[in-house]
Amino acid sequence: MRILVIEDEEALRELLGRALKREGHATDLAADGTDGLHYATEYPVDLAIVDLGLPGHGGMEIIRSVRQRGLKYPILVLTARSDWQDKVQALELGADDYVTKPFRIEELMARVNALLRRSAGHAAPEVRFGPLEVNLSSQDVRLEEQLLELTSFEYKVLEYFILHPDQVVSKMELNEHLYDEDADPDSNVIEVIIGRLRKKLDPDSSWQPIETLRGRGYRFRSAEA
Amino acid sequence: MAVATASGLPKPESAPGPGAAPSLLLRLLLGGALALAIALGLIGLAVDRGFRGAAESALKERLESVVFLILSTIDVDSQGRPMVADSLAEPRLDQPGSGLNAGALTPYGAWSSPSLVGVTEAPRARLIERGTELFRGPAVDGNWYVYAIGLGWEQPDGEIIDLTIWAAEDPGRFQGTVAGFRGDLWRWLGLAALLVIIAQLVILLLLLRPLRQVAVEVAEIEAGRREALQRSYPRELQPLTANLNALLATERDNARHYRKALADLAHALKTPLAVMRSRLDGDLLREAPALSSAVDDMHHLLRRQLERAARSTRRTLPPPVAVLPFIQRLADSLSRLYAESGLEVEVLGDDEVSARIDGRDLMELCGNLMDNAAKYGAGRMRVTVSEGARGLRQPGVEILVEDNGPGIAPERFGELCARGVRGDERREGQGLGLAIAQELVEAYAGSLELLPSTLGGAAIRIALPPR
Repeated sequence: MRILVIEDEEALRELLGRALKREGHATDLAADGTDGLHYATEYPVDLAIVDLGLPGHGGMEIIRSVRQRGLKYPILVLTARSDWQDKVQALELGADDYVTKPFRIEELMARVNALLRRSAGHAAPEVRFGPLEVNLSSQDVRLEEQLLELTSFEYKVLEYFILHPDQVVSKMELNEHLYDEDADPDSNVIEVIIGRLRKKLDPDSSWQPIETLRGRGYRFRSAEA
Repeated sequence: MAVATASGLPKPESAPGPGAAPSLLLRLLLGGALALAIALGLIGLAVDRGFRGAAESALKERLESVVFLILSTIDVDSQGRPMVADSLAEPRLDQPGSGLNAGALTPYGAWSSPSLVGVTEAPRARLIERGTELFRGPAVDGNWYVYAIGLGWEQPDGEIIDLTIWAAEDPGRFQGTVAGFRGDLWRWLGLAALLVIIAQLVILLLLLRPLRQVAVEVAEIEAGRREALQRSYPRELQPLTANLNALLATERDNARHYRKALADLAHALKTPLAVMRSRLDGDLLREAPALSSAVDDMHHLLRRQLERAARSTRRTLPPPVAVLPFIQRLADSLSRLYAESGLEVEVLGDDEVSARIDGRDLMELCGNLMDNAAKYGAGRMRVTVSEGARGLRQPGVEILVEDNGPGIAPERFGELCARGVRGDERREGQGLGLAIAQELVEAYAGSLELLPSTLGGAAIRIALPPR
C-alpha cells in the first residue's frame, strides 16, 4: 500500500519510512505542510500519517483539504499534543485515528494496518476468500489451512487485491500503490508477480481468483461473492 | 452505597462567601437623609427659639405701652389710693374678658381695668420696689404675661408712696401666634427636606449609573457575550475600565501565547522522544531495557507537567459552556476510535445544563474519563449530565461516566487518582487519565467520586460546584 508520511522531524520521518517499508508499504515522505498537502491531494495515497505541528500548512488544514476534495483514504494523526480538544477536532475534520508522541513503532504499525483493513471493510485482521485465508496483521497466508510462502512483493500485490476485492485494478494503479514515487519498475514485473501468485493461490486452476481483463487490468474475485 | 473519594483528599466544601453589603445607593440615601434631618432639625429649633424670643419682646413692648398709658392718666388721692380715668385710649381695657388687663396699686389701695371683670384667675398684683420693672410669663404667674414697673409717687404733702402699675395679657394670643409660625416652619422645612432627598436620589442615580453599566458589562463578559468593556465612561472611571480591559486582554493573550508555547514545547520535546522510543523498539530494547524504561518515565513526566502547566492558562472569568455538546462530540470521536470493538456510547442529560469551566478543560476532564471507560469497559459506556448542587447564581454540574468493564476497587481509586498509575496493564495508555481528571476537577473546586455502576463496571462522578 502507498503510505504518505508528513512529519517535519527528519529523524522520525526517516524512521517511519523505514519501518513502513519493512512492512512492505511504498512510502512518500513530506517534510512540511506545503509538500504534504501536495502529496496528499495529488498522489494515489492509501493512507496518510499526518503530524499536527507542521511548518507551512498545519496538519489540521491538510486533513480539512483532503476531505474537502472528497478523498476518503484513512488518515492517522501523529501529535505531540495530547489534549482532547485537538484530538476531537482532528477526528471531526476527518482523521480516523491518532497516535500521541512518543509512541512504540509496533503500536503505530498496528494502527496503520487496522486502518487499512477497516477502510476496505474488514472488521477483523483475518480475511477469508474461499480456500484462501490471510491474516492482514501477521501477514500469514494459508491456502486450505496450509501456510503459503510468498515473497514480500507477492504479498504486497495480494494484499492490495484483498483490500480492493471485485474491483478492476490496472497495472498502472498497482505500480502507483506498490512502488515508491522515484522507483521505475519494469512493466513486466507486475505480470510476472501475478503469474507467480496465480500458481501459488490456485495450483490446479480450480477457482481462478485473479481475472485478467484485457486492456483494463486485473480483478480479484472474492470466492465468497 | 459504597462511595470512594479520590485520593483521600479533603472534599472541597463550598466556602461561605462574604454576605452582600448594603447597596451604595441605600448607604448614600440613608446617610444623606440622616444628615439632612439633623441639619433641618437644628435650623428649625433655632428659628423657633428666635421667633419665640421676638414675639415675647413684642408682647413686652405692648404691655409696656399699656403701663405708660395708665401712667399718663393715673392720680393718687389724699389717702394714697390710685385713680385712673374712666375711659382709656386702649379699648380692650374697657371690655370685660378681652384678655388685656391693667392695674395700679399703692400700699393704701388698688385699681384695675374693667376688662378684669368676671376673670376668675386674675394676675397676682403686688408692689415691687421703686425704680424696678419685671416681666414674667405664665410659668411664673398663672396664665398671664405680666409687665410691671415700680414708682415712687410724691403726694402734695411731700410724702412719697410706692406705686406699682402693671399690665397683663392672656397667653392664648401669644401662643396662637407662636404655634401658627411653628406649624408653617416645620411644614416648609419638611417640604424642603423632601425636595432635597428627591434631588439627592436623582443625583445619586445619575452618579451610580456608570458603575451599574460596568457591572452589566462585566456580567456580559462573564456570560461570554462580550470580551471587553465597550461603553463610554466618565473620566473618573476611565482608569478603572481601561485597566480592567487591559487585564482581560492580557489574560486572554497570555493564555493563548502560553498554550501555543506549551504546544511548541510538547512538539519539541516529544518528537525526539518519539525517535528514541522508536529506535529502542526491537533489538535495542532487549539490550537496553533500562534506557527504554527511562524514555517511558521521561514521557510520563513530560506529559504530566505539560498538563499541569496547561491548567494555569485557565481564565479568571470563563464563560458558561453547555456541557452536553462537549460530551456528544467526545462520544462521537470515541465511537469512531473504538469502532472495531463495537463501542456503544449512550449520552443522557439536559441540553440546558451548563458549567462555568474552560471548554478545553471540560473536554480534557471528560475525555480522559470517557477514554478510560472505552478502554477498560467491555463495549458499553453511559454518560449522564445533570444539574448538581444549587448555587446563588448557577447550579453545579454532575457528570456520571459509567462502563461495563471490571470496575475499580474502591481502595485503589485514590491511588489511581493521585499518582497516575495504570489501572489495568492489559491496555495501552499512560495511566494518567484519572490523575489528570482529579487535578482538573480540583482546580475548579470540584470532586471525583467512584460509585457502583448500574452497567456493572466503574462509575465515576464528576461534581463541579455551583457558582
